[in-house]
Amino acid sequence: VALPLSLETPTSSDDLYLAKGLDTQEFLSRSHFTGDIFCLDSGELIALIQHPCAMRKGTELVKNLLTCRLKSFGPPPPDWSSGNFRRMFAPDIAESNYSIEFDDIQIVGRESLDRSSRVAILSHYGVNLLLQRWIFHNSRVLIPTSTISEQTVGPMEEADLIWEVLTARDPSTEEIDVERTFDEWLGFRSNSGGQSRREMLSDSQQRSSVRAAARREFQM
Amino acid sequence: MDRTRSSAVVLDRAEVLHRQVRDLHNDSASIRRSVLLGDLENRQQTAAARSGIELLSELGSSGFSWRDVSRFSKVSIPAVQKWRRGEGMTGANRLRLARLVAFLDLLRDHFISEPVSWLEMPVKDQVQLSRLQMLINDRFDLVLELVSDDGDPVAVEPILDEYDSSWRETLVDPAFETFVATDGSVAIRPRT
Repeated sequence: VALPLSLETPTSSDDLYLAKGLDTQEFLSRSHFTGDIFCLDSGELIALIQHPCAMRKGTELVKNLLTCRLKSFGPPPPDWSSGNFRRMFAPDIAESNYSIEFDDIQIVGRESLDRSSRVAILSHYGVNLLLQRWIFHNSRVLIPTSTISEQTVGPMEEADLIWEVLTARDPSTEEIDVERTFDEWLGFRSNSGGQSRREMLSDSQQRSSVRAAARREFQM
Repeated sequence: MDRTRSSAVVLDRAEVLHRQVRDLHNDSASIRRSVLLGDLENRQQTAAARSGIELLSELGSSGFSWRDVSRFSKVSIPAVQKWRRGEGMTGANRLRLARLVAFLDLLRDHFISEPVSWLEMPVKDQVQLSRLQMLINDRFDLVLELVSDDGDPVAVEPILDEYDSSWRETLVDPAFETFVATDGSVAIRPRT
């Protein structure tokens, strides 16, 4: 597959998801992330569309989040590069095919986005593909997903590690307390002017040592 | 006239010698590759005696992400989570994890002190391919070629050519690059 001169097409719809359906219950402790698809109380399906860094202030979600509504759509076309520039395909969710509609935007309060109402979580590749289409829709700039990946890998690694820490925590501890402790741990710099552990997660040379240290520190 | 004939003889001998050295080099590279793969097989058999949980524990403490373990094993992350809780793992999956553990062991013996870091780094600057991705695509042989025995730089491009002959077009972004912005976060800009 050559670096794209056009929007990319996944090899399989399975490549798009980290989890969907019942498997999302395995990720109840995972932070909200770009591309997460929620079923609101109204029954509407919406997807978080902002970059992960724009969704949070510290350990808290911002008060209101930018989302796009999903609508029923047929099976995605074999080639995602031609047309449909106003949407991202979300096939095989709840036994149906959907699309995330970029021109059907909704601001949703964080209180409506309980993690237990998540019906799908995009894979790292799925997030990159969504961002590629979203950036193209908004600016007509085409960036390869492999380059977007270099930017999103740090936040994705952080979300993975928070999930690991919270999943492994002592059940007698409060999730929010552990999350704050871990947030402080990630922000630690071993020397002034040096990289924080959070910043090291974006560095391919250093991120494995942060993971190993987190597992030792938080007994995962 | 004599000088011309003499030059031709020397050139002919030089070309024969060059071919012999090239063939010898190819033979020795092929032997090295098969010996390293044989070593990996032996280490894999040893590692396979360990339980699935022990293998996963070794990968976790070495710094692997569970996302990469799942990609390498070609199963979902929830499946890896179930293995970590001790739920059933097929023999084929256990053998595959054993191969990864054995590979780490082999890298450490070749003086690569943080093998997971080494695997996650790009094969070459500006090339969007990690050694780990090559392992996920089952090219253990090529990653072994990237291990230097004597500290000398390895000629990476022939290895990339063998992995994907179109890598210059498929794995290099000529238009954009990432950089660390003033807030410490990574961002994207046009390549200068």
